[in-house]
Amino acid sequence: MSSQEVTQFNLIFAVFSVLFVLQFALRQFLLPVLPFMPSPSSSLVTAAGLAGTFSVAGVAVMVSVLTYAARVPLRWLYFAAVTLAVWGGVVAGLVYPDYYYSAPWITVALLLVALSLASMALALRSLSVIEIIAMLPFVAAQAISLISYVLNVLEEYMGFAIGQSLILPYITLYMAVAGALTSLAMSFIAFRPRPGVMARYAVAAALAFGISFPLYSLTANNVMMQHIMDMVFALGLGILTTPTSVPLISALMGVYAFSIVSLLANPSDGHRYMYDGALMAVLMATAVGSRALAISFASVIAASVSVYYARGRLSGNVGKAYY
Amino acid sequence: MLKKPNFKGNWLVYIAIALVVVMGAVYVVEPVALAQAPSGIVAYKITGNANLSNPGSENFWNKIPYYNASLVPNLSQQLLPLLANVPTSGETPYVMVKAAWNGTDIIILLQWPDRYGPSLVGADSVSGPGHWPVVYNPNGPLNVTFLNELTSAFHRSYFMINSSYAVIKGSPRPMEYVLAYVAPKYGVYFYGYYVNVSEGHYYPDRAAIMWYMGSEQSPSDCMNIGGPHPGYTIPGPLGQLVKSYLGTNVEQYTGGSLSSGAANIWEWISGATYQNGSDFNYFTNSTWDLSQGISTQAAEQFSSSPHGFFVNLMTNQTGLYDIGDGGIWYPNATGPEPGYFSGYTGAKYSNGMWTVEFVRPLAATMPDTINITPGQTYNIALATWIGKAGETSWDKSISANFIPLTVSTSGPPSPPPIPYAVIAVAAIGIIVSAVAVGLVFYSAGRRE
Repeated sequence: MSSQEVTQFNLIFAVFSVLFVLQFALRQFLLPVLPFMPSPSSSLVTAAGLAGTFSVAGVAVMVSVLTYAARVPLRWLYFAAVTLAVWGGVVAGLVYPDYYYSAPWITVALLLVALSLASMALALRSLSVIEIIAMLPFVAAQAISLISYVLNVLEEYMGFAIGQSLILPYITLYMAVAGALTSLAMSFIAFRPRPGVMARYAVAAALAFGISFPLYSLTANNVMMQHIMDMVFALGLGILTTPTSVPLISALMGVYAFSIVSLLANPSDGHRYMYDGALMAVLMATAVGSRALAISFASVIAASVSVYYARGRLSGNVGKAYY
Repeated sequence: MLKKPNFKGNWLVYIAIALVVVMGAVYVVEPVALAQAPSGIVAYKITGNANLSNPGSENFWNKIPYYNASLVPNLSQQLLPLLANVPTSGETPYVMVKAAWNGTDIIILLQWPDRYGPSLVGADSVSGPGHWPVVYNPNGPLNVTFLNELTSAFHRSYFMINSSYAVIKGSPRPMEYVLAYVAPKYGVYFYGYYVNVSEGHYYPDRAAIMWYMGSEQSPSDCMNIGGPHPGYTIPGPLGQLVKSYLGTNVEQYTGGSLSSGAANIWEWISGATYQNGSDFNYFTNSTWDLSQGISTQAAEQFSSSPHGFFVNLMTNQTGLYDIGDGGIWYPNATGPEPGYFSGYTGAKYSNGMWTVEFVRPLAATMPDTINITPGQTYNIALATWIGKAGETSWDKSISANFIPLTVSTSGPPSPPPIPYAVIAVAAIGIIVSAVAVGLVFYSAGRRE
């Protein structure tokens, strides 16, 4: 594999990551949260909405490009499925607005779910045992979400009375706790006692404290703010929990911020942890999001095949066989 | 010296970025619906009518599965091993939903657990107990000076329970913004709604379905925290305190308004719109109805043939409104409307569960209400209140996001002729096979 191809893939992945984070921060998190701010300006809300819309359209482009660029097994199947689901759906919506509950489209959605699970399995296969353990909470959250979605489709659209009484209160909270601890462990594994690395970790810690402490102070002894932030976490992050556990979530937010920033800023093993961190973020963000959009499944596939490709490439095992 | 960019080598990157810019700009200028996936609740076309005397018993429901909607539990300890010293609670972790339509009406069946038993007490705005918030200071005595400023600014009185707890007599809705953002700085914290079951001070059970009517692709179902009206200026010394802390004493939103677009809310209230509720008879009295701004035609029809019904509310970016009455619950958005009682409900409480059926003509029966067309998908949100647990107003359980509800033009799918377990195993098998195929390719790749 040429260095040019490596550079190209890294650039594509970077564009995807930036757009994904932007659409999550602006569209999924900030827009529902802004009304809870004491005095949000309407121009800020409008700007955030437009930037979020731009980002989600960009992610829709990049999922196809990434699955094409990542030389992985079945890449043409991934590429075709992602492109069909994301852009075929847009075209279908223009000519037949009811397409999304027609039998062919239900089949496409189920195929996309199956490919999401397959791509996650491939991504895990490329990780070390420690990394797999660290990733398990995210994978579990995503798997539960996907299975729940399949059960819903089978019941609502195909009449299978499987009995989807899948009541999992607070499952996302438990996953968030476990995920925070394991992502923290992963960031420690990646740590190297070098001045540059230490400086980056210090910046990550400062950022984490800056996010976590004000939120904790705001909610520690304020039942109403707990109530408000409880809804913010549910709406913005999909974490269903009780108001009394909101201070705990505030601390977790800091742990996540520290772990992901330190991983993304860590160049010690090439882009190894950057890809892991990105996969974590995508799995968590899409696991708790609405399943009404094909882009959720496509993002999981794009991030997973990227990790598989990048990790295989770094270890020298994967690449030319799949050109 | 700068290195010359290698366009040829990075052609895919440049094409990708160009596509991102073009498609992003297209979506910003003229949003096109993103690709959807089948999801949410389906209202199937059925033959038959609702049996509101025994909701949920109709044969057509047997062919339609329940959709299980998780709710956001507010102010509750529930399953977590964490301390929660709050008397009010978000007691409903889920609500089960079925939907159908019969050519003229849409029928929605809700079922949810209520371990406190049915509350039949009337609503605050009719004759029920007042919405009294409890405020407290977890760190010591209440700041009575601030409490006096707060209650006098909003024309409320209060009584102390002890040195750290007080009950404000009157709805906290106008002061919610101050309670949320300012009062804690001065040692006054919202605790919950006052409940005293033995004295009958609790609230009706309620269930609501919110129908989004705006154009946002990913709207939020959450309501704003605010004041009595948009741009409300907090007066007097309290206003000065707020300004010194937040930089302004003007509240941008009305409490209960929606962040974008408008929505129609169907609300069933056990104490008022249910035949067994304490305040139901107020509505069967046409004289009282007329005094409340309900249309003469609607009042006379209803008093001659009373039935369970639901109230129509409308929320938009300016506030939360009643539709078709003179403002029983909130300010009125319309004048009297003959369709005021056009939403029917049937309800029953058994085995610890409320079952409530909502029925309404597909076509909108009043202004600012949802017009339902077969073949379309709507965003709905769900909410429940357990009155005996102190839930009322903003203390409730809600679905965290809007849930798509598709009004299908076909009937319920036929149950498959083979056992469900076999099909479930087959479906799982297909998924496992897909994973296995991926792994085989992977292994083959490594060997090469």
